[in-house]
Amino acid sequence: MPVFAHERLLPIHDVLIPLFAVSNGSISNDSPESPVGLVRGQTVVCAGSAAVSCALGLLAGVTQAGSWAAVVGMPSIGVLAATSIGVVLERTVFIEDPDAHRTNDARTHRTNDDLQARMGAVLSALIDGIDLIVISRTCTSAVSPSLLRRLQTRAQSKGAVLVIVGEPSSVSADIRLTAHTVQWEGLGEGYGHLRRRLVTLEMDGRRCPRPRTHTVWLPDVHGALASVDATCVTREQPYRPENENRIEYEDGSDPVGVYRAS
Amino acid sequence: MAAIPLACIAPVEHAHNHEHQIMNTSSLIRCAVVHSPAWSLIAAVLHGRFGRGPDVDPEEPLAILRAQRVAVCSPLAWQHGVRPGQRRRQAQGACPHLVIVPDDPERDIRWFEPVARSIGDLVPLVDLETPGSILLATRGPSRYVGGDAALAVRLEELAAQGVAGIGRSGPSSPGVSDDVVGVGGGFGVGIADGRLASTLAARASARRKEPVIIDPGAAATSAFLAPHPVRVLATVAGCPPDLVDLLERLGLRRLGDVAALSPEHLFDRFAAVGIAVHRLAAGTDDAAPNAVAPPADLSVVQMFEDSVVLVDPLIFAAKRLVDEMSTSLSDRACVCTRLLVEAETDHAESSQRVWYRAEGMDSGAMLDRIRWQLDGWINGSRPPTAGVVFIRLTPTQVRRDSGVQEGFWGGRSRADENAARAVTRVIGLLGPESVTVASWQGGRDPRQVYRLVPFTERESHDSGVHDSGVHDSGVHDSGVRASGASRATAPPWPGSLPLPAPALVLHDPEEVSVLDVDGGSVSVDGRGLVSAAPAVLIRNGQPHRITAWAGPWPVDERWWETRARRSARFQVVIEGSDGPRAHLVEVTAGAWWSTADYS
Repeated sequence: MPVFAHERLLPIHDVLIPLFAVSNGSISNDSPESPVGLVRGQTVVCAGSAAVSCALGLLAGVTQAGSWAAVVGMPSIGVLAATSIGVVLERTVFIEDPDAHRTNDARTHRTNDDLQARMGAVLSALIDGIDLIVISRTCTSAVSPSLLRRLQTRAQSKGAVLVIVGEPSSVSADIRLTAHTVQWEGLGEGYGHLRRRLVTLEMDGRRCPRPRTHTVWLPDVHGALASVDATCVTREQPYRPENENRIEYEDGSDPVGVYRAS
Repeated sequence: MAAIPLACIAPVEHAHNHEHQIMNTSSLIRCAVVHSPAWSLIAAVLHGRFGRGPDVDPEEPLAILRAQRVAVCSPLAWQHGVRPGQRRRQAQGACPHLVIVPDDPERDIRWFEPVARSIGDLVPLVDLETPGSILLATRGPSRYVGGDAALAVRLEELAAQGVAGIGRSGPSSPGVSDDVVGVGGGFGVGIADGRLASTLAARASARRKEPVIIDPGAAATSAFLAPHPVRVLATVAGCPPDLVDLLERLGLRRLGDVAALSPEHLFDRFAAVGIAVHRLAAGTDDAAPNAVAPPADLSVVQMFEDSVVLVDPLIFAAKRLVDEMSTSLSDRACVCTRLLVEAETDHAESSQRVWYRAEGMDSGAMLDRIRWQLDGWINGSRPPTAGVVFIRLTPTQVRRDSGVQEGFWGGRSRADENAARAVTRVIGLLGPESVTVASWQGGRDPRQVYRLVPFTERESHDSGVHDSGVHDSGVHDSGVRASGASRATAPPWPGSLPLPAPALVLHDPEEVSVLDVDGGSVSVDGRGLVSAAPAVLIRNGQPHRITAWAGPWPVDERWWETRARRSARFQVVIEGSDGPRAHLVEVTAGAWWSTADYS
């Protein structure tokens, strides 16, 4: 039975399309309209100083298109940031680290084997039904390399995408997204507040034919993921409230400049 | 920032009282149910005597058959050995002179209208479930009459007066004697927490011939519910009969047996409906399973330019309204469980009834109820003096329709099914507390804006039962489910952190140190002034240069309580090994904490 390219893909956020357009060249790079997305069954590692926001960006694209996502072992994830980036909370479940219970459970002294079995059961149950599974690094570091490989194989057969946040040592990533913070804007020496961050996403990995970089605002002034050219910065731009995010505020025309005055 | 006036801090016992109140508040609404077990027989006698129906003698043993089995029998027939559930031949064998009365739901509801109106004199808007059964919220009426016991007596009187008033054209003409009410076994009044318990209490009351009042509180309610057979979940609470069958075959014959199980086990086996059944059986919740907020725009109205006097043309117009509404409901994969029907005449006389059906109403069922109401009103004993000019239908409670087919372009998709199965499996492995969804609650601190609630409680938290703006008897008080407020409609929180929000919010803040250029610790005084510009952040023993910072933004929370907390926030950008990193740090009582990471 033929498998159409779009069935092998999970949709991604519009801003990330230029980044992924090349990496999926292995499917078909002839027509410009060839679908672009996360290839089902792959393992994506998000690393760098903006790793969490980068994973949220992937989560946003997938959940907006009607797929479900699970976030495993990240109790401190910022839900407000997730919604501003565009994650649909109705289809996102947050699952506690299966390892977290070990210290609380006084009845049995869990061995490493128990933990592996538990981790394996939880993650494979998720792989069976959920399209995108975001796993924290602390969670994957508790999983043995052999179990992780088995889970990757299972994800390949079920068509789920695993996203690992942080740099794991023992994972062979199909795609590695490294998010480098170039600069934070909006914060001065005692005044202003964080407004937006310029991030360079660097993509490489086994399934990425040639490494590629793409620069985005992650987050932009509204907390969303935005492409840089849409909000391009020019010093000559006059201040208007409707394009507040276009201004260069070193010239003192920013609304937070009041902090400086006081 | 001004210093905090100490006098404003509330005394400690005030806080205690507040908590005490919260502890006592049950999530269930206290309801009263007036129930007549054999109303159909009373209606048949009345119809024979005052309507144009065949004459029915209340002195004879009477029974009504539905689907060829005895559904209702009079106390006299019971004495002769007739029982509900018998076949016609068995019943006639037990009592050869048994009179079989034809079944007619329209007749039942038409003659029930005077009773509903009589009780409506005390409580304006009541819920009608079936002819012979009325439910109302007791909070207001009970306080008005002077307690639950007084209210029960008053309701019983009002119901009897409603029947007695039928056929009485003037004050001197004779009304209906007690024998008519006696034919149906009289009225029972039950008062308890929640719909299920109060209905069962009313049924018990009709048998015992005295009002049954169950003390408020979850313990008393569950103790009352425990001995009832599981079957009542299907007959009263509208649970699927297959499920109840299965519970019985599993050896769970009483509600107490179901309540004794752990909700996790029920969830593991039956998914969400298992939790609903457990709540019903334990007397902790009786919201309709899968209840969702009704969409705001679903009410449909028909105005008539010329007022309509006859029932049939009204029903014909209502049919169009019902079709329109059921189409828009099924587009949203919902089914209506509670319907408000309003009609008004030229002379501003109005009829308002709320109809409830636990298993949901299709268009036929809705139309039946509209016909019952209009027929009972227009052809009843106190008809309106002018024609009807206005009909409005409003679904006040809807629930998800589980019987819809898989959607191609929306609705419940295969992905949703698969995901629900996967999540259920994980809940079975880790327990219900470990699998959560985010629910908006609002707040200034990025840690508070969203709250993670267990997936199993998701239905009641993020899509609670709402009453869609209609003035209502309050049987489902939407205040119980405050977290149903959506983010879009909620007012803003002034003083919250400006966007963008941090991607990592540490629930266990990490202790850090913040130093100035000379290596001295930075502090914030009581007036919110920084001692020196922060220059270095020490985190995990590693010093990082601070390249930009802003603050302090003072936070002064709950200053009126003993849990008061004062702190000051800073945003800092530090030089990390892999580029700049932004943090939210907070200073409380001289100690610095990193509370969020803009990762």
